[in-house]
Amino acid sequence: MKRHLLILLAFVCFTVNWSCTKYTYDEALPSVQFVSAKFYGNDSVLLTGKVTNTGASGIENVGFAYDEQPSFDILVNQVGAPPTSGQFSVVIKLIPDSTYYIKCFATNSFGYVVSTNFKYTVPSATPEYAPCAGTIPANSVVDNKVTYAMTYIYYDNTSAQYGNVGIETQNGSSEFVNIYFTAAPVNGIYTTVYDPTTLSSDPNPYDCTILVNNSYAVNAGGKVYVAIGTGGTGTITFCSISYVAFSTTFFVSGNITY
Amino acid sequence: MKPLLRFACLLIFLGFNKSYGQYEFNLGLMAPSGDTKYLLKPAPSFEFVFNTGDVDSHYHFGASIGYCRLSPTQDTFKTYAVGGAVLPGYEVIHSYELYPIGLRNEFTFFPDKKFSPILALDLYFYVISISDDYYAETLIQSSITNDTYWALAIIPRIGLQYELNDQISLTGGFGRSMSFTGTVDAQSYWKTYIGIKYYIN
Repeated sequence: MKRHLLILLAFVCFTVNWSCTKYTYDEALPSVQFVSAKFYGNDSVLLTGKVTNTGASGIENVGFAYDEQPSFDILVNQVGAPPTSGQFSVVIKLIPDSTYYIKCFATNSFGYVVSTNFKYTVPSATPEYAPCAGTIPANSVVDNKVTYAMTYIYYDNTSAQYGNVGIETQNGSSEFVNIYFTAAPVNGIYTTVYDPTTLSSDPNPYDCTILVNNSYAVNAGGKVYVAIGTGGTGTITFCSISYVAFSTTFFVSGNITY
Repeated sequence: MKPLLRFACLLIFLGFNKSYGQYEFNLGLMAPSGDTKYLLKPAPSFEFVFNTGDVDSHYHFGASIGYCRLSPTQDTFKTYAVGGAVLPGYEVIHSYELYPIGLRNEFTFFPDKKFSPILALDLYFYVISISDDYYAETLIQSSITNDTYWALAIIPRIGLQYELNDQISLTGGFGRSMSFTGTVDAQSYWKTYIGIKYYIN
């Protein structure tokens, strides 16, 4: 009798012990590590993170979040990347000479994990000049293949018609070319947006617009190059940016120092 | 829980009205397995069973009702939702209760001997009562109390039986409960038990 009872008891004890193994918290969730932040181009940063362990199920999301304050959650300035179980990268635009706290995250079906904060100061951007800058006389624009010497150049940081800062130029008679920015321009390459009315609330500090003859906004996607001199002067150059007037496409280039 | 109490009363009533049958009381351990074991710790359970068939039968059919209260493995689970972005959140499980109602189909290899292995295939209907808080930033903030769900599961089971005397046997065994449909995600448990059977003459 004793032998049979012992067998019964041993059987139950063995199965209880065997069935009680469980996932630990670390085994179920993935692990993620922030790898690097590298200055990329003149206004961007290449962020790299790495999934070091996928956990108990496949990776569903990876990405980054950043803020200027050290305490923030992953919803702040979140940038996703394609899900992967290895290394992942994104390029984000950040403002030069600013310090950010960046972290990466990964999710699987059990939940999410976040890396520790990485503190990164974006370096100063270098001055940028358009490829055609050397072919355009200083303080001139080339509009529809005609070169105009702009004799009136005004830097307006208080009452710009669009955006928040404008460089307004005129040749003394009929040619006007105004360049508007969301903030005081810094070294770097800006991209034009078509609708100048959106500029004052545009979150991208590297957006700008050019208005030709006070009426015609250049098309979106044009590149505007800014070089800030040691004395505080700035030079804006751009090459053959298109705009439409009277159903015809024209091109404008410029080399303006203010 | 009134329907469950009525079901328990029905089992007792069936016992009093059968010439041959067994009452069985099992103390067990429900150990979550698969993904469920990330959420819930193993927990004790108990079960009351009524089986048909006399002591010498190979086959015993029965019905059971039980209870198990499981505890979460973490105070707070870091969860998330997706709504245009990954929305961080959390889940706090306050209580997780199982009310298993089973139909049992058991085969005893050597019913006329004192010691015998058992093979069984049970069908269980789980009533699951959950109280928890769920939060996903900007999207969800909910707090539920005793929300009821259900799941249907099969339990292949093996065990051993030792006959103490003509009326009482001791049993022990384990099985794997695998749900295949219901209003919660599929769950699985290892179910280990030790019990006592009382034969009605």
